[in-house]
Amino acid sequence: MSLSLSSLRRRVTPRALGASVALALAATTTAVLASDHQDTPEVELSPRMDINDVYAFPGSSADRMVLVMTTSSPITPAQGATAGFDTNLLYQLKVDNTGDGVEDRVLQFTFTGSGPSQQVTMRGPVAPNQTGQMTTVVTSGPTVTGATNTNLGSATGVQLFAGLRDDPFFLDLEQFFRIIPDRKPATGPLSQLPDTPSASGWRPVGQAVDFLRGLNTLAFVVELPASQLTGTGTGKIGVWGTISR
Amino acid sequence: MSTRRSATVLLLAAASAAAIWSGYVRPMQRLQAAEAASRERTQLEQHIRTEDIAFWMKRASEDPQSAEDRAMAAGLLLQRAREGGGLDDYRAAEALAREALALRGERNGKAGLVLASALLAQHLFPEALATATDLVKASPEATAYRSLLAELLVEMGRYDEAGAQFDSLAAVRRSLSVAPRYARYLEFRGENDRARRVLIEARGEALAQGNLPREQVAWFALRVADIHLRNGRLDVAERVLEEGLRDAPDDGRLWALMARLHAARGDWERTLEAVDRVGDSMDIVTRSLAGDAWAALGDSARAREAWHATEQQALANPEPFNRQWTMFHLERGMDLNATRALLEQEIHVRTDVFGWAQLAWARLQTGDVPGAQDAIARAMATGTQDGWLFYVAGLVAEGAGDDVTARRWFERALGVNPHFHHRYADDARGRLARD
Repeated sequence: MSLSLSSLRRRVTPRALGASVALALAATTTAVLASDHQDTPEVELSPRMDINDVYAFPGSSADRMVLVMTTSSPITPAQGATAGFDTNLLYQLKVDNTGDGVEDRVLQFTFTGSGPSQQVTMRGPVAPNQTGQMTTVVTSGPTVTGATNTNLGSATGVQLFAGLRDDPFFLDLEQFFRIIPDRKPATGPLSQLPDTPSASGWRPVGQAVDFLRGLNTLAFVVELPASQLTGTGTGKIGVWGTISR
Repeated sequence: MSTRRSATVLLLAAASAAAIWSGYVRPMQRLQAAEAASRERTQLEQHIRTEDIAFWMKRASEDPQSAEDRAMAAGLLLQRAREGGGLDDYRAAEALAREALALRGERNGKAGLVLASALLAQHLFPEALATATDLVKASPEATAYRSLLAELLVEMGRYDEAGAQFDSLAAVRRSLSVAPRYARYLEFRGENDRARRVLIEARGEALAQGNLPREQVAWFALRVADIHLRNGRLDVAERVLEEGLRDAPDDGRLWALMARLHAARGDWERTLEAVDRVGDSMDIVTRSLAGDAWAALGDSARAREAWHATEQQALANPEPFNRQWTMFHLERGMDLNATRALLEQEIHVRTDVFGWAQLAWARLQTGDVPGAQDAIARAMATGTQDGWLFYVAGLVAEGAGDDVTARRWFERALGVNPHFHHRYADDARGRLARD
């Protein structure tokens, strides 16, 4: 199976200050194409809503694959002891298997409890109740439920881990800011910021430092039969993640 | 005693015990359990912060070019300083923020914000103002920067400029980073009721968020209680302080304000009990208040001991614009010429309401009545409604021989707050009673 790499890291950033609807979990979202940590002031202020990265890669056998979404980084080792997912949020991995950029399958994750003793429920993969920015929690399809920070499900079916993991992203952040002093917009007040790079390339091996070293993230890792995602589609999939209130 | 009578007595005893259990013991147990849970949560937050400071410092040592690691450590040191009032942590936060800014001047607002806040906490107002101004220039859309700039303008006595900044923040005035600062500005403008409403609403929002550190939740209780206390609503202030102490049972700032509240009531035993709970964050006002309490209780030796400790504390940590220190001298008529000289010098830099008011009192006490009249007029030009301010205005008017005006100011002082000061409120009443 081949993956549509261009869509691996597409993501939808939720409107962070929208009304919280804890029971219905209806979500209103604003589409933003972006990648990696702390992209907007909204998610900097609401780190539990911050999607760090979405990954998809082949699984433990040729007919299986792995989907990963990381959130909430950076979590320091000391913070890890109490870190937990937000019980008022709906976390989703969405899969397009027909090439039209619209989700055909969703994996939905919700949580109860607090801190490291939370319970996760994963619903799907299943067709969503509604595509696009508004959706609700699905009531049909397979579910996996259990404690966070443990391996759930079965090795031949759907396997799930939801919990604290070392953040796999790798970046020499300090040098990044020297190469690109500010990721400024084209218009508006911020466009007036000075543009004075003080470096033109990465620091060499031995001097470069991975900023994410030692920092943790709250991750969803799902391994499952690829056929559950591709269905009767083209055999190629696009994957993205969302977090919604 | 008959069997029936014995049974009745037993039933009554059991009923009384049950009533005491459900009406007193159980609520007390619940209260103690809530306090224990709050204390546990606070200790956990403190532990995590200490570990995190060490974590980011270690990373900073591993990467000599990392501005981010230094900015992160500086931010946590600032947070710890606010909670414990530690000057060393403020200085360390300032030093790390400077290092971070030296490594990366652009896109480093986090370090800039910490630097300006640490400077503000150390009363280094001009440099703090310059730093905040730079932050706003670089990112004019950032609410946090403009809010800090507005606060600094208020501190410097530049109220019109502060007002313009707050006008530009109108859409976000209810946010937690703006509301407390805006409330302080409103107080200087004499809008005490509106300021109180803004603060109460902000505290409600802080409580509703549920995930704020205990230190910040306690700070909102402190601000709300303080404004009630300064406007003479002692019972409400006490209730808010008690609520705050349930969230943060060992918060020294809350205990310091509780000490002032008991002093305002003249309850000196409880004042001293509260002072004992303040801990490491004891400021000059609280320490000298302990001396006043001992004096009121007739123990002049312990009073002198507390006042001496106050002086030692101030001399060990000299800082500019230390209004608590100058007030300590003015209240006791100590070193008046030197105190006046210091205030004269500082008013050129920081032209705030209470700077002018202290200078007015210093000038009055050193025999310069016209100078005192000029200073108090400047202090009152902003429209601030404050009991102590009006009291000083009364003293100045009295010094100028205008007893009618003096009476009016003493009455207004007591009208704003019948308990505006544990000593001078009674003094104002005494002066009014003399005629």
